[in-house]
Amino acid sequence: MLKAKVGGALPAANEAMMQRAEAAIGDLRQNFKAWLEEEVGKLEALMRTARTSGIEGEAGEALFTCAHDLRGLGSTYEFPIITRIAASLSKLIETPEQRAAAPVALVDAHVGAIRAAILQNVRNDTDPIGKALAEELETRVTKLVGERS
Amino acid sequence: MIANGATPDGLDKLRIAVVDDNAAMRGIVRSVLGAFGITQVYEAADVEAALQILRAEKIDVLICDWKMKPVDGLSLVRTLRDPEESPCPLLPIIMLTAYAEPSKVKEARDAGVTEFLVKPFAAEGLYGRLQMIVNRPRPFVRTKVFFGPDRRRLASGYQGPERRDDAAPLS
Repeated sequence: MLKAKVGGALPAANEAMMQRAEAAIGDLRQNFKAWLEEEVGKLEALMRTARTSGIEGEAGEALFTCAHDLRGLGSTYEFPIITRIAASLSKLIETPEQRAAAPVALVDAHVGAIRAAILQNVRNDTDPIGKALAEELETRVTKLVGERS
Repeated sequence: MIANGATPDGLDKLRIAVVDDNAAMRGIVRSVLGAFGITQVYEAADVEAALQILRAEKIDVLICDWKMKPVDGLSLVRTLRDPEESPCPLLPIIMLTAYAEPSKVKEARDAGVTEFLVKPFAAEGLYGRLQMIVNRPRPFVRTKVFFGPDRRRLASGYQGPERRDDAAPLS
């Protein structure tokens, strides 16, 4: 039993511990820009491949994996809007069947929007243009693949 | 009750393995665990490396990404919940993934995941999952089609008769 190992029930999180955790993440903050650039660079390279070879094969699977990773990382790297756009892209191209039906231009628009967010330093959807762009992409994706639960 | 600012004393005894193909994410999880006072953290970039750690070390909790190559995290969970194959079938597993859809949560639960946490995650969320694992561990059940932590977590203990006709509680 882990409760015995740690010497009893774990108490509720206290504010100081959470602040320490936030500070620990803050210590990594200086790397976020480079890490995000690396991930988005990878996404763009995969998109270039997908433009020539199509998104139905391995290139599409790799593109989905990269978009899925960005969905998990964007907010951590202080770009919640990238998490949102990457989530929309992931929804569009998750399965081989979806990739077969996905318009390459719409996939490309997501990748371009993610790059634009970095270039324009649009970090979240309080920016009206960023919000409108994210909503438009999500609407188009939902029209194609429907709501997903 | 712990003093304000302190970490629960026993957390430094926990040994946690983190498997994620993204090195930055492993570093972030390690940093957050360090802030909780957990310093015995083992990292793996893929399932094979994770299994090597789990065979060699006495790990208390596994934090596992889902989408990995060549073998994904869900397959790792299924392997670990196979009593014939697993070095630690009762290991508590937190699935830390960018998947957020209810269907994915259900799929993970059905594979034998103990707790589910969506990326991007907050430190409080991770602590909360550890708290659940320590304070309210799910009993394990074995049925004809499932071996793993009980997928039903009730607010109060269920007092009625066992309704699974083939259930065998293990802990």
